[in-house]
Amino acid sequence: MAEKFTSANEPGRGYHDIGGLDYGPVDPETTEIKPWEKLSIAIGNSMGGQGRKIVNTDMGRRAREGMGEEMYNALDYFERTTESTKITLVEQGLFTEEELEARMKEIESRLAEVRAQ
Amino acid sequence: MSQIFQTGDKVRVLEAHPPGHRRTPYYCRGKVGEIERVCGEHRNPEELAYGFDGEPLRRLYRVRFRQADIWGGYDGPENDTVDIDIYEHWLKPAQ
Repeated sequence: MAEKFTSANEPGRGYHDIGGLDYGPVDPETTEIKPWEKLSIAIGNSMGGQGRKIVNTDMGRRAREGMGEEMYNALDYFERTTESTKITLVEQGLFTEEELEARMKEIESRLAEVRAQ
Repeated sequence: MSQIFQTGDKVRVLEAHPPGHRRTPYYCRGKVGEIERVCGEHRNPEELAYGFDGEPLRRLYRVRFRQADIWGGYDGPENDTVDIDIYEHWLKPAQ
C-alpha cells in the first residue's frame, strides 16, 4: 500500500479527491446505522427538500471539502455530513457556534439528570 | 444553449485545478475520452455549492474513457472503460 495521500504533497488535488489512489483493500464489513445517524441525514434532507433550499447536496460537499484535511480524516461518514450541515447553517446565520455549544451542554446536563434518577 | 458536443465526439478534459468545489475528478483531468451520451442541462453544482441559483444551466455529458488512458501502467483488458459525468465547461474538442 502506498503512503497515505495528503493534499500538501499534491497541490491542486483536494484531500477528498482520492479516486485511483492506493489505499489497500476495501473492508466489506458493514455496521448497523445508528439512530442519530439516520436523524442527522433526515434533518439535512428535510432542509433541502420541498422548496426549502436552506442546504443542498453541493453545499454539503463544499463544506466537507473546506473543513480541513485533519478534521475530514478524523471524522467518519455521518460525522462529516453532520458537521458539514452545521457549517452551512452557521454560515447562513441560523445559529452561532456559541449557541450550539450552549444547547449541547444544556442537553448533556439534562441527560445526566435523567440518568441519575 | 447550443450543444457543443455530439455522441461519439472525442473530448479532452481540461487540465485545470481551480480552487473551490469542482465536480470533475482529479484523475481524469487532461485525459481524452469519447462522448457516450448527452445527459441534459442542469443547475451548475459549482455555483449551487456556494448558495447561488446554479444558473445558467450547464450541459452534462457522459464521457467514456479507456482505463488504459486513465491509469498509468493499467494491465487489465484493452477494452476496459470507465464512464464519468462531466459538465461541458470542463471539456474541449480532441482529435
